[in-house]
Amino acid sequence: MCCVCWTLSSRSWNMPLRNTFTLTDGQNELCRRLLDRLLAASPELVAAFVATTDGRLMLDRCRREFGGNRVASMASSLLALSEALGGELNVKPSSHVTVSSAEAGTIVLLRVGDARNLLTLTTVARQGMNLGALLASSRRAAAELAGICSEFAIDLSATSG
Amino acid sequence: MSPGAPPLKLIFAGPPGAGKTTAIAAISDFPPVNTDVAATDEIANTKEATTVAMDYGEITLADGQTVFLYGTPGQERFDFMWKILSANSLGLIILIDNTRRDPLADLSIYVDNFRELIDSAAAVVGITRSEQGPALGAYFELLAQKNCAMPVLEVDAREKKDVLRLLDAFLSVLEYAVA
Amino acid sequence: MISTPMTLAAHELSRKDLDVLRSLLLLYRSRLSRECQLCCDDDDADLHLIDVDEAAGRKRWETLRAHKRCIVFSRTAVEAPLLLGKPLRGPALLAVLSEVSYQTKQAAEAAQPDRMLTGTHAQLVATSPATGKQLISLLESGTINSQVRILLPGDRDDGQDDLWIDPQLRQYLLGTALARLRHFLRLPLQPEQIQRVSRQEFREQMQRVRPRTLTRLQWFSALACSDGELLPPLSRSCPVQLTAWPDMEEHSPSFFRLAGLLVKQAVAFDGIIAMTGIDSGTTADFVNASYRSGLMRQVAARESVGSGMAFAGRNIVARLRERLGI
Repeated sequence: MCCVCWTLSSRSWNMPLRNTFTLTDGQNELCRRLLDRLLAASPELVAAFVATTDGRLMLDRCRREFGGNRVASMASSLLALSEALGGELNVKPSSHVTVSSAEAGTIVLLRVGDARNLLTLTTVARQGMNLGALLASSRRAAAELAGICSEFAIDLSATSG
Repeated sequence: MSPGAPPLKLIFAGPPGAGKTTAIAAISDFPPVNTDVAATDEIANTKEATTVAMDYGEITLADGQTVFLYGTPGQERFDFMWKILSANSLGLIILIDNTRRDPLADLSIYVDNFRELIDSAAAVVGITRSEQGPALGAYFELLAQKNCAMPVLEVDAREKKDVLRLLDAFLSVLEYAVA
Repeated sequence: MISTPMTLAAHELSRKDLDVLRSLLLLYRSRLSRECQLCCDDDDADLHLIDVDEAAGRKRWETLRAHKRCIVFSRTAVEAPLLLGKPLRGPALLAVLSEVSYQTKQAAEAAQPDRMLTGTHAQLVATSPATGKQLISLLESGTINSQVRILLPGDRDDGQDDLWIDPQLRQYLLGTALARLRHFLRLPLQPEQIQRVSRQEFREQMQRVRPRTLTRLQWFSALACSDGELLPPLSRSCPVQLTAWPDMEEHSPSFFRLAGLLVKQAVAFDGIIAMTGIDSGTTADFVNASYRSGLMRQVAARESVGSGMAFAGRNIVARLRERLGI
């Protein structure tokens, strides 16, 4: 994997003094409603987490108690490892990562938008949910998130320094 | 080398930007594989990218046996990776960036999190960018407070001879770690 | 050490900070020129440590600062003669308490104008026990107990700075490598070579030369004075163990191996030679240096002595060394 070079755009980022990325209040509200709709549409979906690619939780919606911060970090590691593995085996770009248990359910991890984006979506379904349905609803949600958080993308046309 | 022999691994740990990837690159047989992504926290002020899973390199010994070199992610939120990577490892090389806000606190975190490995195997501390920040004595005092005796050396992770000196200290401790 | 203890009152410190303070005062007890007794909220104490990050602390400071000596404890840079930053760290605490001791001493000396030591560049008295001994002996015995500057021989235009020592902060300043002083360190020092300096002068020199641990100087000095034979206080049959890794200026594979063994295990002299394969003279020099710099302890023979890694483990180390060329 190569390091990504970027510069700040002139758009209105919500960036506190220390250059950390956060969602605006408006984006937060829209994302929250999106996740609410996602869980409402599929009773087998138990949780959804939106995080940065470097493992910081932005927001989550859960039917059960989960350690959202921990999930965000682990999802980041797993996505990065899977992309490294895909690169090694020439199976790239990675569209999603699936963790399945026949007894307990399925987890889907995917990037929001394309590879330039800085957000990830993790959805958790209980046992019984059709994998195809889970993937479809997760991808739709990710596409909507990409629209809401379009500023969270890296400008690859810019060069650093 | 006997078939089925457990793989050998060395762990490089330390806060972001301390020089882990650089140190691995200095000795690995090939450029390290990394899992770097764009940083979105305060690290972004000093580095564009940060490791979220591991850096990976290898050293192949004369008989064909491989020693795996793993660099851990620096942020504490990835401490689950520290545990995964350090399981059954030969030992630990901790790199501390002396220009960070509180490098002594950084070392304290790694000593506390890897204490079992430090006591049972071998560990060394390399202080990078040592021209600024606390003097070496402060690190020895911190380790004395924690009742933990290990080598502390000033190193430039970009210089192979410094990395080898650090590894010499590591191997000297490893050689006599009580089984 | 001055016999009368100094009372230190802690005001508005958190429970955690108080515990840390207590531990540090105990840890550094032997290094303070005057014992420090901790008490809480005693307005009559000699010295007051006040956490000013809370309103109650600031109020207390306002009350006490006019007539009491106060150390301000804060997260931010406060304008105060004595300031201790957060989090509480040993070296910083030691520096502040040393400064207090120094100021107290200066005040006491100023009240006695007939003393032989005058000004800030006074030399040690010729009849003092500081004469005619190697530096390591002077450090070992505590004869050098305040900031000094040791004049080094040689052409003073060559840019080589002198050797500055602060035994209370346990630091030294030297603008060159210790290796250049190997011969000098074996020689007995003369009184005219040792000058007392003020804390301020030491601080100014620290702006020019990065401080190093005093243990490094002690270790190297002891090494320079060792002649390949175990010193009399040490017994060949008594196991020894390092309490800390020696801060060695140079990279010596033999010394690294000796340190690697003794940091992990307590081993008698002949056992060290047998396990490492390093010659008797080098081993004796290492043990002497570590002992004289306070890094080595003799342990009772009944304490467990390990035999090192299993053979397979040693084999891996040997193969790694071969591959890396170290």
